[in-house]
Amino acid sequence: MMVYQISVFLENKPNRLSSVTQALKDGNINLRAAMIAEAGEFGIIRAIVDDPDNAYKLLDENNFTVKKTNVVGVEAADGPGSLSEISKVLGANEINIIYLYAFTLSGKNAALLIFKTDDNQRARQIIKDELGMKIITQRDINTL
Amino acid sequence: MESDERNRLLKKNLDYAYRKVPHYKKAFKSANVKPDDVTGVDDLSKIPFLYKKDLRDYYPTGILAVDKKEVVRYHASSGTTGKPTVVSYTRKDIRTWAEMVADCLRLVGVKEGDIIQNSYGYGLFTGGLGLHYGAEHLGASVVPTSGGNTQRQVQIMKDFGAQVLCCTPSYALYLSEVIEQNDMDPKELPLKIGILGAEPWSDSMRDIIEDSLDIKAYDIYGMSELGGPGVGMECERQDGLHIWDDKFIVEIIEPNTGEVLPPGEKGELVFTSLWKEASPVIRFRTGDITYLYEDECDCKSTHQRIGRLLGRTDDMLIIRGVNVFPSQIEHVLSKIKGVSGHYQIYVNRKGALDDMEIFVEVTRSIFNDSMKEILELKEHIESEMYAILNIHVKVNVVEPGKIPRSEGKAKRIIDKRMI
Repeated sequence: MMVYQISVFLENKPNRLSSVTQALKDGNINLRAAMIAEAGEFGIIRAIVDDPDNAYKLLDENNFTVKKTNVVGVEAADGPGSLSEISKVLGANEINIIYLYAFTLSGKNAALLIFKTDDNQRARQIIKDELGMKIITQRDINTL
Repeated sequence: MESDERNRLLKKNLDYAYRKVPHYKKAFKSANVKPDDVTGVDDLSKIPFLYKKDLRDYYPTGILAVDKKEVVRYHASSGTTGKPTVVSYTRKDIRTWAEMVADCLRLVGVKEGDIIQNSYGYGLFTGGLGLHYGAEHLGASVVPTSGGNTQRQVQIMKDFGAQVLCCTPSYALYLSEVIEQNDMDPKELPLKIGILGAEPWSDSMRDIIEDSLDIKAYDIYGMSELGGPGVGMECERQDGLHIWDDKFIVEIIEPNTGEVLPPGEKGELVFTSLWKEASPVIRFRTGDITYLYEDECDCKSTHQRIGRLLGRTDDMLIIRGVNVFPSQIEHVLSKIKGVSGHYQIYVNRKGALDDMEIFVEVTRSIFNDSMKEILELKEHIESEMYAILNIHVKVNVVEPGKIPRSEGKAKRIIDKRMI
């Protein structure tokens, strides 16, 4: 029940992002979702890809500062209140969301939410049991 | 001063240093020389040099020629690594230093009763207290504003009617900007003289300061190891700095060979003190590059002149009057986990003030998909830098491998200041 995320520490400078995306393109790796968090002179790119192991290997070989982490993926109905329900139930269970990004899935009337919490395993369980939402796995990502 | 009298003073001071300071006895012995081998200034070159790193080894008392009980004050400047260089003063040293500074002020027409705003920092740094005691010795009225709080400085300058301003040249420039922002006209202020030092500044910067503050700006030279400010001073001609030749023997040497150079040739300034009781310096290498004037000045003073400073033999930076060595930065970084040891210092002027940023490369292992850890590392480095350097430095973290590597000497410093 895991989704792997690739994160890369980058200087906030022109061409740094494209050097990452170029490396992924050269490795024939498809980005499913991505976000950039910035803090002044540096930033972190976080991405969900169809082949995280290979993506990690490629970026590492190309001397990027890269990390593979497991995150929570949830498929929620694309309607008002979905995220509100998730954050409420996690809050009630004292689980803290560290970061989150979300995308609507074309042609499916659903949204994909990717987030990291201070207890991913319990977060997955609670979302599944209490909200009945679908927990996304890496295999689901590859077939999205 | 007559050369016989100078030679006598020199011999007396060499003998004093040799007898009282174990460091000199050891250094003289290893160079196989005794104070008696020197008959005067002309054969001073037999004596070995004193380096800043020698002084650092004597932390926290410094090179001390008197009993600790006779020390009435300590000052310190940043050392090349973590430890500062300490200088001690006897009661007589403090008095002689004050006389020297008073003579500097007189040389540019400052008089008893003049109002002097002293914006040099008070503390371990010699600038504040050095000018303060000198100005009081002269009989001027001192307004001891110290550094910082510029709005208030400007208000006080206006209200007290300061005629003389003592500070670093970059701070003088900054003050002029704040005066302008306050819609004040410098021409309406009684300010007429600036005593500016503690960092190198060019003639073009002088033009800007003189113009924007409507003053005459004079260069004052000094260094804590030599006592502090007041070692040398420009006269009203603004053509070289007079060095008090009854207080110091000044030499210019070739930095690599140590050979003494004739007037007119550029080299490293070396000083031997003729007055210091607590921390005598014998052939102290300042690291400053300049040259000696050959001819006498048109002004009344017969004290020999040196040119304005042209640079440094080492990589010392002067940031807002504070000495910063890249080795200090290296020292701080070496104790911090998660950084690679590759760094670059970027110096610029923001408005009139020096601004220093350090780009620090992190190791790949520090990155854990978290912003928090990197920001904490950055803050940690900034506070460690402040603890050692005493100035605020912005730290930028850089991804591994992105600081340019070089084959030879690494280019650690990028200095974009116009000085």
